[in-house]
Amino acid sequence: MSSLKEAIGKFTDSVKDLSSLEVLTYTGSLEQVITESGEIDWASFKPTGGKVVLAAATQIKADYDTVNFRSGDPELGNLGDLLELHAAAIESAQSGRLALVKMFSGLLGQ
Amino acid sequence: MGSRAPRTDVDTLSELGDVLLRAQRVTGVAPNVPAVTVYREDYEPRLVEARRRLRELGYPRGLADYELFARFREEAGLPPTSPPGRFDRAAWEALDELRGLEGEVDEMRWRDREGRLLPAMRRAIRARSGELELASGEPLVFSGSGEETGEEPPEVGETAADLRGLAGALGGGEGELSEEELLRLLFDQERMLRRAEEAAAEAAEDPLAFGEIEDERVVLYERVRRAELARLGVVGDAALDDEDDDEDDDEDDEEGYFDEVDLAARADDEPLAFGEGRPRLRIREFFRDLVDKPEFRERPNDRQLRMHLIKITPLLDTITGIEERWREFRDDSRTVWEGKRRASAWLHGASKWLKERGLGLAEGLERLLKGAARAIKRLAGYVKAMFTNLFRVLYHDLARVFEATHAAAVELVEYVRGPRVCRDGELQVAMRRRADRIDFFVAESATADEIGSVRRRLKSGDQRLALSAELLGLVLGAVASWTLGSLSALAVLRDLGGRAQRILYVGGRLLALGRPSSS
Repeated sequence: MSSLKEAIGKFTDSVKDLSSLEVLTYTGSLEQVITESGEIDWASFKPTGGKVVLAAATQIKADYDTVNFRSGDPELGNLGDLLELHAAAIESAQSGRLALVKMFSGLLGQ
Repeated sequence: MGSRAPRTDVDTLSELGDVLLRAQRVTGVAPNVPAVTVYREDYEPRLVEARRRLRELGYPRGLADYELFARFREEAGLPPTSPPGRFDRAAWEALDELRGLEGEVDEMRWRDREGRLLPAMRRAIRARSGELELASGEPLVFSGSGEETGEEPPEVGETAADLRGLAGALGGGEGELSEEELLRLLFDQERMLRRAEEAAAEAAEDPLAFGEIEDERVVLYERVRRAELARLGVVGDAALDDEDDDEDDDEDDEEGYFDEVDLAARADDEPLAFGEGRPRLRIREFFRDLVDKPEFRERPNDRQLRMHLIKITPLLDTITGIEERWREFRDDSRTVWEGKRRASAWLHGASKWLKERGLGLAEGLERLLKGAARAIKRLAGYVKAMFTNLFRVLYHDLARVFEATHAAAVELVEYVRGPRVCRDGELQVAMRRRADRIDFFVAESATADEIGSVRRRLKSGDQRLALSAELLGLVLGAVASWTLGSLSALAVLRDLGGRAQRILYVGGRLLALGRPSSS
């Protein structure tokens, strides 16, 4: 049950702040960012972090003002695939928020 | 009592897991064996029933669960699990096929490579043979007695002899009944009853079957129809006796309990069955018809069942001592699980039977119960049987609601966790989802196919999340009103029951989407 509680906790956090959204897509070598337990050390991600490269970034602000970044690095051979994935992640995040609204509409209907 | 801060929607959401687990404990209802464990202890009721059924099949007592279940898995041809002896959905379905007596047996599934019946099936044939006692001519005991015939499964040759005996008792001459058909009859009570009815009808037309000699086909029919009555929860079989022994039914000499029906408002050709009857006769007739008339044994479709459930849910509020009755019901695992699907047919049949008499389902059931209460000493068994069937339908409907909720909760966990792709133990694509930010990492070595698979999973995940969120919202709407300290089975049945239609519809769509294969 702890996993459910954790998930709900994270969702609860997101319910409290639906005002802005950032999507960051990195690529590079995993060696620098994998912990001993095999998980990704997300804290070590930095756009300028050596072998880790920021391929795309999107910021959607509370007033729906949107800032996009895409790498122009010619070394990134799979950039097209990365950008498609990045776009799908933005769409997914927005769908997720709509789903949350729907979830709470169940409460409103009581 | 101290003042309590007002609850908010967010509070309810964060407590959802606790509240649902508590609701499961209060009602004794749990979802099916989960693919991913979100709630601890959630399938304990099924394990209790699984242990009981395995005892009926003669598995040794005293084994630890993992040993018992591992042995069943092996004898049922199921692959071993890690850790060993897990009782997963496949194990439950296999056991239900052998002991539920309400579904189609897949004969080939129960044979080994050489075509021999698997040990678990041989045990089940022996157990059914013993219960029905068709070959011995002894009185039929429908439900398992709990008496084992031995801890080892019967030999293949013994099973063949069991089947020959059953074929004879079922009226099948040499080669008339295939082994496949025999197994279907053996493990499907309704099919068996239909076959027995046909055989009895043939006997009635048979010029050679006359006089004082009792035709075996008639004997068989009598025994199977009484077994059906037992399956409806009636202890004893007075309901099937032909005579109406109401002369000593002086408790019922009050005004007819269906007198409130406005007879004058009916058309002349409308059947009149209520109004003049006595409770004992009426409730016996009710059960007799539901056993003897095939039109009252039909299973409802999902929509019909849903409509029946909507009608009977308000009835719960009118019944005195329902919590006690519910506890008594759910604490007897055999009563809960026996006739699971038959109970929905009973409810459908009851609806039809009452409609023929000008009554709605809830109104008619209430009158039957109230009428029986006037002669409670004589009719307690019938009243209990009515509750048994009502509760069975509600219980298994609520189990489906919990199951759908469980699937939605698992989906939520998966959504937050985000998709991942590994190859040869190394992460290729990973995602971290936070409240206001998504981080994606794609390894240099990730292939276009791997990246594409994550993209597709994101899209299909969106659909599943939308359905999960809607479903959880519906459940939240019910649980928000529950106070944990006074949560009752009735409150859960009423609140979730009222929303069950939509929950199950959304849950069905969620299940239909399936789960993406994880890398």
